[in-house]
Amino acid sequence: MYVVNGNWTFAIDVATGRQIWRTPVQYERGALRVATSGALMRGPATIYQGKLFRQTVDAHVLALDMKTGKEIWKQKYADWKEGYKGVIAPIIANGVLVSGMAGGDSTTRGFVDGYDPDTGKQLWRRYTIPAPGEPGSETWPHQTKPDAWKYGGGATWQYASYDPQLDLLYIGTGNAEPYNPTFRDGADCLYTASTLALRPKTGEMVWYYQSVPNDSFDFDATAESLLAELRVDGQMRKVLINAHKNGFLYVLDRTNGKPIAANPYVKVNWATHVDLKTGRPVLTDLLDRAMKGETVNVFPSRGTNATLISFNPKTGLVYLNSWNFPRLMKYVDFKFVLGTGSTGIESTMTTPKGEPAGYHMAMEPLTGKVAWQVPLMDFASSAGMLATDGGLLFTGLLTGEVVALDQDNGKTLWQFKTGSSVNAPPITYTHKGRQYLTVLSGRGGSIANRVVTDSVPTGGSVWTFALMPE
Amino acid sequence: MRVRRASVLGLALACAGAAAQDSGKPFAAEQIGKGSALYETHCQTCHGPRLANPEWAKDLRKFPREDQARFVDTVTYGVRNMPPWGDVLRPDDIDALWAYVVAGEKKK
Repeated sequence: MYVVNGNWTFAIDVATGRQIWRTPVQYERGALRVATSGALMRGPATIYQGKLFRQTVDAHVLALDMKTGKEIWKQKYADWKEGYKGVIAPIIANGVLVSGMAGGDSTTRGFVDGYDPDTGKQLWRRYTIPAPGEPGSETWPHQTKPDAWKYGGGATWQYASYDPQLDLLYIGTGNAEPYNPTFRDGADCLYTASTLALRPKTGEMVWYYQSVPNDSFDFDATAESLLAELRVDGQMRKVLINAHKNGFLYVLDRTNGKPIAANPYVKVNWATHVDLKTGRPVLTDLLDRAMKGETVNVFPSRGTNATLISFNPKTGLVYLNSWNFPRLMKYVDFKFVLGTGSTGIESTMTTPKGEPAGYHMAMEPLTGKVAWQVPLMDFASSAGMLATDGGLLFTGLLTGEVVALDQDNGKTLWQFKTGSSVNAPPITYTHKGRQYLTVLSGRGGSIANRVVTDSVPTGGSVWTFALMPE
Repeated sequence: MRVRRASVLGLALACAGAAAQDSGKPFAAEQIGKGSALYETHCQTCHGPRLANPEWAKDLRKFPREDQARFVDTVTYGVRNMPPWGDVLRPDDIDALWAYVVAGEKKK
């Protein structure tokens, strides 16, 4: 078993938990200036043909020998001093190591890279913001804000998905930058806040869907896309399901990027709905009011805290942990300084008094009907959701519990308290004929850390449980 | 002219309120102003605009006022998630930041 965090890579004996090796991540500590929330890691260790791949916070991607933990190759992909950072697990797709970047709240221009996993040689780079003259560049204000595209965001800071049948890699892009649209003339700003379908061998963009044109509220479209097949009007369709940070649960046709459904899964007040013909959200007056200088409370600041959702084809339901966490914000001026924050807003985020911080919930993805929801009064969950074929859900709480829920009603069937917050998605696997569940415990991450402040201890640990035959 | 300058400085110092150094002397307004500008450029992303509502990092309004040495050490060398700034900020810059943190923002 391989485990990564911002500072270490571990190999652990899956049967006993014994550490086989651990390798420290070598990085320039100055990079923490742009990381803002420490050296954290999103997603798993990526393993392929004897090598383990990961990023470092100072914007490198590297390969370790899975047997020994020794470094095989290491490539710098950006300069952290310009605001770039590495927090995301790469993914293998059709033999190519595909690796994103983070730093979309600093002065960055998003991209995705393809590497030869054997040698670390870069095969391609696909920028998420087109240069002047390239397709999509007409959606940037080149006349009035000639440099906006160079630092326009669109970071690729969450995990991608790969469909080997279609040979398409799906990756989301982050918020437009600055959030304050005045500095981008309110233009659509492709391909920020979009889902991209890329050909992994070449980086060619086969289709895109921009869920939030002129993103002005930090609505990254980076949530991992879950690949499924759904019956739509009697026809089985290859879809991707995305619990967007903007509060809508999208179902897209993953062969062409056309939206099939988009239903709110949390309170949403910035848009009334998504027009499925145009794919564009229909805005309320919130953006206009904010543009006039009003302090506005945007629901949601995030529908989930960048965590994985799950889907069970048997029930037809999507399971997720939602957040009830609006952003009270005001647009302000900002001074461009390369490598520093470039949001152009001031904001605070708190759950309204007396309301749940979030929910465990189950939802029909095409209709938006909520099958059940369980309120979480103390803290929302920052862990991913795992659905098993046997009708269980496994997830975790910021207060440290790993929990098993009933898929039928969300009732807690079992829980075990670990020593720190459970932020990671549980995984399940079989080893020598028995099914196991493993979960990482350890307070961390920006928002989760901030929400629990000092009420939960820090410290990382790996917990494995056996599912007993009875 | 001399008198006028002195009175402006006196007003600024009055606004700084409890902004006193260990020696008991108040910080100069220029030093607090310099600290405020440095804070805006380098610190506010994590510690919050004008010292308030930090997004990710410690609330510096709660930093112990008797702990200047730890402040300087932490800013210079970093600790845990706090990055080192010793190659970016000079000692007098860090002193200015301390002056700003101790002086705080004026109540509006």
